Amino acid sequence: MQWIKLAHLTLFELWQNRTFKTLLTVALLTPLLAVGLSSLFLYDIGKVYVDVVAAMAQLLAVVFFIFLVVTLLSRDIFDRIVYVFLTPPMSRRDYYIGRFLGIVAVFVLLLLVLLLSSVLGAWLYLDGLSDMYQSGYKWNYLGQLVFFNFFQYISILGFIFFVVSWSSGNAETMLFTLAMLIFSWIFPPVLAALQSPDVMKDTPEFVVYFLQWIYDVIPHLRGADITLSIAHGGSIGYQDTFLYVAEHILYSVIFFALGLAVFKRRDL
Amino acid sequence: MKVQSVCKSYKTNQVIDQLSLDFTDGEAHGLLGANGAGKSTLIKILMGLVFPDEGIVESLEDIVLLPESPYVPLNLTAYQMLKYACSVQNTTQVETLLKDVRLKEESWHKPMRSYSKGMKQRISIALSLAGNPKYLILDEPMSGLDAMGRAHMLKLFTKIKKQGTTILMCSHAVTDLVRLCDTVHIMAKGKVTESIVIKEHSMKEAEVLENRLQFWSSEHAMD
Repeated sequence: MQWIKLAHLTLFELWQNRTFKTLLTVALLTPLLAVGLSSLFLYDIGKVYVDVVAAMAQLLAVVFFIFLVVTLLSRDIFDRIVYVFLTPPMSRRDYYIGRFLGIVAVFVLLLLVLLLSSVLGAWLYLDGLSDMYQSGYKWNYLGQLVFFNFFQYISILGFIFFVVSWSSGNAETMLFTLAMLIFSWIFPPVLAALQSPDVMKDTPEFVVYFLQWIYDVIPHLRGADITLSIAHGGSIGYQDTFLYVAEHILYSVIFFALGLAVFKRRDL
Repeated sequence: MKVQSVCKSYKTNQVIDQLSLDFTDGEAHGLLGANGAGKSTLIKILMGLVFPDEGIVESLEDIVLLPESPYVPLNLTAYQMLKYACSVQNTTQVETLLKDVRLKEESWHKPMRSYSKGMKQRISIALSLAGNPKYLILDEPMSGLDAMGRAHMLKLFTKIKKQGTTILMCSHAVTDLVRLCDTVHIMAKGKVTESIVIKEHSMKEAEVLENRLQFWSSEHAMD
């Protein structure tokens, strides 16, 4: 159970990082930004408020994983800080699990700060407005946003652990992680568009099946559709929620397990 | 601590070539060699950080490495890092260790990014001593330390050796090796070419070692 100790240390390490403190400050100030932007609109104030929080949740997560997590793991392996950790009885498996769970804990902390500050901001700002201006805002929208955002980036975290296990440096790890993020943002909507009835009617049947198959198999790491749906009052059923969570946990576990298998065999 | 017929190459570069070495328990062993002789790779193989292509390595449970450069997480304080290392080794001697390596008390709770190289080296030494390891591998342990620091650390390592810890020290500083070690193994081109027993720990023996190192580092020595 050495990984628990490393997870605990990782929590401290990221907590004391200046970039993380900046992200926490931004999370705390997000309601102010949301209030400022939503007050520019006559109606739909509630929708804009939730939209701004959703955008900030994405932004904070991207900065957290690209600049903090990738840098932390790259420094560990390529600046050889890992030598300090890989002293018996700490195994490579313990190191990987400990780091992963420590990062997850810090990410949860960041999202909780964002959630609490946003809920508080909404309570102070939107509660005093009439239903017309609130445009259907409900307090649980923000909770759902943070929940879906969390699972989306858990898959990305698994992917980062996979890349770090074989990459040769910080730049390479960052490049592949960014490529994965961009791929997951761009590719699924393009494939979805290709399957629209208008496009499909002129497409050969085997191509349609092929596109459908790719669409089903590739990671749907983009949470923008869901957050947009929530912000606009769309309800997400239990089955969809379960599938979304299961998909992201599965991708995270697969990438993590592959990464660990490679990491156990690599020269450090 | 033992390796038998170990080979390691990086692409076409043979770094360790059929190397066999047996380190007697309770003694201090030195590794001496020119740059690229294979010392650091041998140490990494012993620690399980690098996997050999061939050969047998006796894996050890109670072995600790003091790396060549002081690799420490810069956002943590020395106290936090040492507390973590002690918790992994199931000991509670954080303050004793910090005092042993003479890290000033006012810097214990400061992030290590504000430390000088010497201070980082001191905390690295403290980390390697957490849990009183049975086998201790020191890769250039004196780098970054001033003359007083070097003398103090040599005394500290000598004390640890007397307590029964087997030490393997890799260094370019021949005088440090002679002062601490009982046997010094000279390496060249991935092989141990000569093992010299140190009896008197004297300057005369340091001169002999330097001469032997120069000989084995010359281009035609291996012929």
